Amino acid sequence: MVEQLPFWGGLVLPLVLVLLVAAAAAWDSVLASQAAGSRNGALIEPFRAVAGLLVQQRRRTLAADLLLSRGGALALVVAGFLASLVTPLGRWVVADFSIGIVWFNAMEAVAWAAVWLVGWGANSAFGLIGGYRFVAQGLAYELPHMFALITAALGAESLRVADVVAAQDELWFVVWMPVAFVVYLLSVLAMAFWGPFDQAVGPDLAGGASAELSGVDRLLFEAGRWLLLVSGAAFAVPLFLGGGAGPLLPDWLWSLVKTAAVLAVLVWIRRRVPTVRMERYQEIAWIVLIPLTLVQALVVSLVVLAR
Amino acid sequence: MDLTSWLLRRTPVRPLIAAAPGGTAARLAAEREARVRGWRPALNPAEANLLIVAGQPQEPMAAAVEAVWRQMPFPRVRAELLHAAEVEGALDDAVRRLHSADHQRAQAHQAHPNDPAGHEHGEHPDAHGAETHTMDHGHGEPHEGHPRAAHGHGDHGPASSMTPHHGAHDDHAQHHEHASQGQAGHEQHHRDSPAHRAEQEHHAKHDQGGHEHDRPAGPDGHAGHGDHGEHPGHGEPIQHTAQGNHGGHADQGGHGGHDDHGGHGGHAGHDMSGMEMPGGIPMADRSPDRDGLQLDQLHVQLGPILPAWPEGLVVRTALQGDVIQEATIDLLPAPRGSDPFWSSLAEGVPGTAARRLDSCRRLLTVAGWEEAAVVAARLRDSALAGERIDPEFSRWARRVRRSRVLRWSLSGVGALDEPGSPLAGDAMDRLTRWLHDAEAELRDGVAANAEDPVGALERLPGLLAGSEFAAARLIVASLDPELERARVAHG
Repeated sequence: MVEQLPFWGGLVLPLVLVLLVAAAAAWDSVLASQAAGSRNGALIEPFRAVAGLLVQQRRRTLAADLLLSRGGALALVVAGFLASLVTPLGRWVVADFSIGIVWFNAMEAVAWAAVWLVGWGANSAFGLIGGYRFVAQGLAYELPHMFALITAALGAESLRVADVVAAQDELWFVVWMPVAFVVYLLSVLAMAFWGPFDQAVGPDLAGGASAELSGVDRLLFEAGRWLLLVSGAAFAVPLFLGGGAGPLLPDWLWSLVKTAAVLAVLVWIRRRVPTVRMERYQEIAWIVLIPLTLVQALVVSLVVLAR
Repeated sequence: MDLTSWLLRRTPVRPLIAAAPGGTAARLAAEREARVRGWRPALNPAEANLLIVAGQPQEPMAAAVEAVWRQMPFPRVRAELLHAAEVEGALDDAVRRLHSADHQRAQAHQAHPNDPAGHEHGEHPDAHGAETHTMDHGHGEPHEGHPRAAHGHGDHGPASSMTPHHGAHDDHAQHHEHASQGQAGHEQHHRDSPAHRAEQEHHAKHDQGGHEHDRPAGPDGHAGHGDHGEHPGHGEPIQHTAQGNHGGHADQGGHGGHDDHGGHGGHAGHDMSGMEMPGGIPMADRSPDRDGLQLDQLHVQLGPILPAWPEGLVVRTALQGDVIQEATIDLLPAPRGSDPFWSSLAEGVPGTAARRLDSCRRLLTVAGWEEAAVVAARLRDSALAGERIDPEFSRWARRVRRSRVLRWSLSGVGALDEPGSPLAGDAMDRLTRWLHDAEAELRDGVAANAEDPVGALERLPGLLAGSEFAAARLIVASLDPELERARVAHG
């Protein structure tokens, strides 16, 4: 049902992801300008922002570790792309690994290092605190996230994404694994340090990990962040929402529609909810979310054994 | 038409507003204008391309503004606004200059007539329209392709050949630059003020111990630091930094809370002679943390130019990780004869409601709820313009009150057990009271003008000590002392 594309699939994937990023950023910008009551063309604002960053001077701080901070921003972009290698668009996928779910998780874990490196590399107190906030955030979201991924894999009895999609022929996983789905979405927000989990780049830290970035470096960092968000949203579709399954429309279009819907919700949440401070989320993550996801995994494994 | 100019003309404006004490009217006008034009505010100098100076900065503040200006990458412009009425025109003009490739190039050229690097870097010249002081050459703006040495002073001639004043200034410049590092507080080193010395040390990581190895005396030898100048290999900046640090330390010793000074002797045990000072910044200090471990200690200054920060407030902190160990506060002076803005509003304007909405905007911004903060700003501006804001205000207030995540985030932060005081309770209680005050004035026209800025300032250091950075910002924002009135109260 899912087939691997020839090499050019890897060239098309970035285009698709960039389109989704552009759409999501434009949506975010429209929401922002509505709240501000501004009268300017919000739809093209993200594109103008790219233009601005392209001509902006790259600055650096004294004794900055350029290799780490710039490498970190680049790693964020690369990880965002690579994570989506295993995400099928309808019936096409760039790489049909037998351990696709592990691959996805490994790529997004790169973000952990990347954000920390950017914050640390700038040799700036705010960047440093921001970087460490993200490490703390990782401690909070990563375990529930992994259990959510594992739950979907359990349901399909396979780590291959194609098998996960096939296993949802009759019933989407979101229906009988709602906890895993919600936890997955929360952790996508957290790993893209978006929405209520944006403390690593928060306004209280004057931008935190990204406080010292300008020009191309900031462009890469922001792009990487959006790519992570888009990749996370797109992976929710094969994992919980039945992949490209749906009536009338072709399956690739269903994949896109579902991805866009998840993405729209994720972007919108940021408008509704203030930042969750990490020490508070830590409690919830360890005391509530981990046990919940474990129970969810247990239920799923019992069902799988019984059927 | 070249690509650079084409892109430059499309650059969105990212304003960073530096509000000087007494500049509230201009700040509000600028915020309003920026919001209506759809400019998303910059959180830091790195992101900004328009520096809006609201009000008339007096000395330490003026130096802070210069520092932030130097940290801003090209392209950049500056708009200085004294009166609310001139804002629109001044910002139009600033945008024109920002989008003009000719202007940006000329500015760069003018600032660096002798620096070929400035030309090589085309649209990324190292200039800070800073009225061409010669000493501006002293700090290489951190741009691409510049040899690292540019950060030292080696290539600009010895600072000692300048007048002492210039030398000092040069050093400052050097600092801000890089110091993005201490960007904390966006770097403000005021020259010629005692404060400036303390600030130098905010250059984040500095290690008292780092100087220890060639210091003749023990901890009390802080004064004897002239000799750092001769220290080879450290380059010019260190001399000043070193002195600054020590000034700062002496200062801190004065606060009594810094018992780690004795501990520095212990640091001599570290292999200081071999310790490198990366980029000329001494390494971080050390002291025991709340769990009894020896951890790095940074001296970071917050304010006066920081997003959602009270005008003219400076908090000097000693940070371990993100825990504030001690904090001292400073008020920057306002120009003579300036009236507190919020008490001199026209008849019929719901001043209390607007003031409360302004405080809410700050607190919500720091709490990371951009949406609610922007709505608060919009409502505030409408209220100041004399428009009715009632139905929308109630909807917004209900949403803020009902947000569980906000309550979860604010409760228990900065708790003061002083029933009856306008500051009583925690950050959430204070926010709720603000909403209530605003509501009362909008509905019944009753202005509950209960504020205690002096009390807030007195309690601030105690509340900040021991809090984590995020909580500290929430504490400051939830007290939001109206400094213009605090100054009046102080005489």
